[in-house]
Amino acid sequence: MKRKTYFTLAIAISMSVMTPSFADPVSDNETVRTYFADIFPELALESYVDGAYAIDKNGRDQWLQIEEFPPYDDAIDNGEELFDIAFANGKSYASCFDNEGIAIKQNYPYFDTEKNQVVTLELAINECRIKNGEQPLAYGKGPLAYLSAYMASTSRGELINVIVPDNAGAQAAYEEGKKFFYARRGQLNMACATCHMASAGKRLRADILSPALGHVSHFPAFRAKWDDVGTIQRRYAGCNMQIRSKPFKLQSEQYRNLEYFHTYMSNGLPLNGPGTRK
Amino acid sequence: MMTKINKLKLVCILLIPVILSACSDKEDAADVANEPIQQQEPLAQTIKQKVMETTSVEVHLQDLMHHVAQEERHANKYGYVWSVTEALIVKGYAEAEKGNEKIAKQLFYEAKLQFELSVEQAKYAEQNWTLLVPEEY
Repeated sequence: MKRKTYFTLAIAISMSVMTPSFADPVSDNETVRTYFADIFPELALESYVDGAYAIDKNGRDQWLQIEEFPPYDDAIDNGEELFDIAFANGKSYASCFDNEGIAIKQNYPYFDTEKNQVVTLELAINECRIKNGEQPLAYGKGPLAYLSAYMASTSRGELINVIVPDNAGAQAAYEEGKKFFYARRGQLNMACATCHMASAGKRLRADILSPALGHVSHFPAFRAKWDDVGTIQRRYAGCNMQIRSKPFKLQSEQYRNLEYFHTYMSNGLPLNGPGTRK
Repeated sequence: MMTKINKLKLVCILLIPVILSACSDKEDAADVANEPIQQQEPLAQTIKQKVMETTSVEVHLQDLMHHVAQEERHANKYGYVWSVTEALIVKGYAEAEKGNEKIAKQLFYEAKLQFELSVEQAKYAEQNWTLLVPEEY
């Protein structure tokens, strides 16, 4: 009996030492928030939704002036118009979403346990179109980004509420997104975290690198570089190109998982999109 | 005597993870990071040198193109392909069409090396991606 107890104890200790410990999403968030609180001790949690403009005074002054006449207003108007147009079968986007599509962005992306995949708002918009016999729209920019911008505008002030259910598929998707965020890639051998965790607040040429926390709150965003509104996944592809990594297709499993992890990180922060960025 | 053997077994089992952890990639990564910078050859120089070495070997251009295509399929499976590699292949085909076989070969060799490096990067990332995760407070 004693021998058996020793053996069991030894195996248990060995397993606890050898098994890689994956933090759960809740403690991941606590870790990230404490990490940023150490870097920016004077920054309130809600301020992270302003991205780099929360920590760059000069940039913030310019940004606030731009926001007086928001360049994304046309996109919201276009999006609203598109949202209200009925499909050929007489139904509309409102028929596909909870609360008729108003003030729901805070719940996206979510994990669909039936399809066993992460569903982003843009994917859901296209699924709605397909379900109603319409052709899907191109991802990233144009009409789909306008629709997403309009839906985001109706969700302003809502607190991000992404859920990782107690489901193996959801946990795996979250973990894959986390891995993507922290893994180095591209010819420059950089990860998302290299700039937006380890170097957040530091300068990259003339710009100040934004913290990853709060990134998702203001997308779709109007970027001066794009001269238009674009989705968060369009930005992912752009970031990947900047580090000389071949980008994935928009709404690929990789980017959807990344968006899942990235958005979960900002849980509890208010949505303020669409926003303006450089 | 019997108790002594059991205790020995217990110590051995407890030592297994300690011994195994000595082989982990994290340690290797830390060692590499601690190496003096002078000992690390610049990547661009290494690639250039390898390309120059390999192009001197007589290889049929068509075979090389075939190898690059195979390497590309292999690298794509890992999802870490570099964005600059495709341009090399496009340029390589353009040079081959113009009849500049030597330049075409150099470009294809470089593309092949970049695919190989992206696979190495993917394998490293698979083992070490947690290195950038902030430690729990």
